[in-house]
Formats: sequence, C-alpha cells, structure tokens
Amino acid sequence: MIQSVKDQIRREMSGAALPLIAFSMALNLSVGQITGALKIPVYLDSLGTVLSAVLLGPWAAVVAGCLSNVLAAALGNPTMMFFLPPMIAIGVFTGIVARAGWFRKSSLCILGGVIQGLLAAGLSAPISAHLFAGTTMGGADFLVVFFRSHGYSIFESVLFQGLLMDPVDKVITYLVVFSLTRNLPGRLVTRFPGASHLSTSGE
Amino acid sequence: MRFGTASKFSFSFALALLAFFLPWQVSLSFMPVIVLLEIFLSPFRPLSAGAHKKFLQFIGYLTFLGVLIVGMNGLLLKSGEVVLRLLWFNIYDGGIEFGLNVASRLLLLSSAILLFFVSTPIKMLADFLGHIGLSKKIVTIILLATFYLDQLPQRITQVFWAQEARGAPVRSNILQRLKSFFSILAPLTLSSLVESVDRGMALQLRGFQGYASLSQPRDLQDLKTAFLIVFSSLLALLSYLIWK
Repeated sequence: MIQSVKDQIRREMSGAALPLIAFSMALNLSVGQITGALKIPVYLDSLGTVLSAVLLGPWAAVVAGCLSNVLAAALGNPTMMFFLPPMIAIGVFTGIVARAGWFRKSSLCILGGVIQGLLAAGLSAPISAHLFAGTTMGGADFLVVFFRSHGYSIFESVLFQGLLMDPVDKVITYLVVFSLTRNLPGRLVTRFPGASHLSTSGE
Repeated sequence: MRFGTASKFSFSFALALLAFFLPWQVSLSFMPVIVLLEIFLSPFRPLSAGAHKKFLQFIGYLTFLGVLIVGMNGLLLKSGEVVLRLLWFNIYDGGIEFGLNVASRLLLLSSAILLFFVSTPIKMLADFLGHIGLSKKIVTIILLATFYLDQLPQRITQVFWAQEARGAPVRSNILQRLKSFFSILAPLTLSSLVESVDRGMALQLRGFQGYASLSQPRDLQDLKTAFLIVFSSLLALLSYLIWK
C-alpha cells in the first residue's frame, strides 16, 4: 500500500511534471487578473490545482495547491498560508473523481463542483472564523460582516458565506477545466499521467 | 551574531506568531518598527529601489485596508455604545474594537511576511529552503513558479488584447464575458502546457531526478541567531500569556 502510494507520488512528481505543477501554481495566483479584467464576480483561485489534479493526479495537485497558497502569502495575502487543509481536500478529491472518470461528462463535473464547494466551505470556515474572525482580506469579507450584523455568530457567518459562494465558484472551475481538457490537443494531453481518464479531442 | 536568511525567517515567523496573541495596541506599535527595519537595517533592506517603493506602497494599501475593516465593523456590528453619528449612520465602539483586533493582526502578519520576502533574493531563498529540508524537486517547482508568475501577467494582457481585437465580447453581458474567459484561458493554457512539456523534457534530458541535496554549506552563526530569536520570542509570548 505504502509502496504503491510512493510509486504514485514518484510518477506524478516526475521531472516532466514539475513545470506543469509550477504553471498550475502560477495560474492559481494569476487567474484573478483575467476575472478582474472581464469583471466576472468569481475567484477561480483553485483552477490550477484542479487542472493539475486532472492531468497529473491528486498528489501533484496537493503540492501545487499548498505551494501556491504559500506563494500567495509571500505576495501579500498572508491569510492564504493558513488555508492549506481546504487546498489539500481540493487536490485529493479532484484527483480521485478525475480518476473515476468524472471529467468525461459535464453533468458529473457539476456534481463534483458542488461537492467540492461544500467540502471547501466546511473546511475553511473554522480556520477563517477562529484565526481571522472571518476577515481574510477578500471581497467576501463584506458578506461575513453582513451576516454578523444580522445576529449570526462569526462561525455561522463564515460558513454561510462559504456555502453561498464556494459551490458556484467550484462548479465554474470544474466546468472550465472540463472544457479545457476536452479542447486541448490529444497529442499534448496524452503526455500526462491523467490523460487515460479523460475524453479529449483526440487529435 | 550573524543575521542571515534563517535569522530573518525566524524573526518574521516570530512576529507572525505574536500577531495572533498580542493586543491591537502592541501589534500596531510594531508597524513603524518594521518600516524602520526595512529602511535602516541592512539584512532587511530590499534588493532594489523599486522593491522598496513597492513595500511602502503595500504598507499604505494595508493601512487603508485596516481603516476599511475597522470602519465596516464599527458601522455594521451594533455592539456597545454609539461613539459617532455620521448622517444616518451610527458607529459602535464594540464594532471598532473588534475591527481593530482583526485589522492589527492582519497588518502585522502581512508586513512581517513581506519584510522577509522583500529582502531575500530568489537564490538565497532556494538555498534556505534546501537547508531546512525541502526536497530539490519542491525548490525547483517554486523557482519555476516564480518564472511563470513573472511571465503570465504579460501573456494574459497579450491574449486579452488579441481576443478583443478578434471581436471576443470582453465587455458584453456577464454570460458573454464568461465565454470570453474561456477564449482567453484556452490559448494561455495551451501555450503554457507546450512550454511545460518542453521544459520537462529538458529537465529529464539533463538527468534531473531531484534526489540530491543542495550543496551549499550551512551558516552555523545564522542558525544560532535564528534559534535565539525563536527561543526568546516564545519565552516572551509565554511570559505574556502567564501574566495575562
């Protein structure tokens, strides 16, 4: 069992995969530039993690997600460093559902996105509430204060805000990655270990 | 006593740790200290004048954000007494107190972490990460990510303009803009994946396996200073918690 996990990690973290993991980290941190330019009210800050989970596997996604949160802290948002558990959950869950073939059908992607959103909201709420009293230097802070002003506790406010926003964000993330992997040339996608669980354009 | 990367890291770590325990008055009093360290103490001095300017701009942005957090909480959290009336709005002291606690924690945390990164060159950071036990693969990923982070904003702007010139509805209604998002992301991802594959092949052809450790010798004086900083700050924190 341990040996097979070690082999899997070694395969997902091979020399050829390292640049893709690095690109996924940079994508997590830079996607805000695109959503900002298009004025779309979503974060999609786990897009790179989901992409590497689908193309490489869960362990590579965990590395991409955790390191991008650490880099985000270095780039001015220190609260991100404390949100490693949700990122680990996103990487592992997406890697597992991608292997189960969920990224072959859009309906399964939507279901996966909803479950992922609920999971992320449930895991990030205690961290946000107990360490930062619900204020994480993001746009959703206003929503937390809004719920608090209506008499809810900090934990309830953070949880409601997460349950309201995370499923939508994650469904869009999953659908974007689904469309990306379908439209990328098969010749390129087959170079990555996760290609066998996808239906590509098959160039 | 030498103040190297490990000492700087432990200093920033200690400040970040203290941010969670200290009252807001003490946390805020650390802010000018951090700015003075960045200006006058050579190990904390940024690598360029541009970096120094960005650091000060970031501190300004953080201060603005702090004021916003305090104001928002004072306005919306109706606890305690009204301390100020602005037209139809009441500002409550309970909300202000809560906002000050949260904002001071975020301010100290952010500036402590930034102080380390603004004054540490990438090469020194890579050496340090190797010394604290991170595998060479992880260090390589971080270095590659900083390369992509440098390149991606420019590429995104290029693709955005190109798609706009081709008539993509980048300024239309929200559904159209969501479609445009994909038309920007797809070429960006495709070009980056092709580049990733090329770079990966180059790494493999050069025999990169990532098992060997980094060869730079450890700076023992720096490690002693780092240990001293972490130990004394933990002691100070413990004394404060007992006193409290």
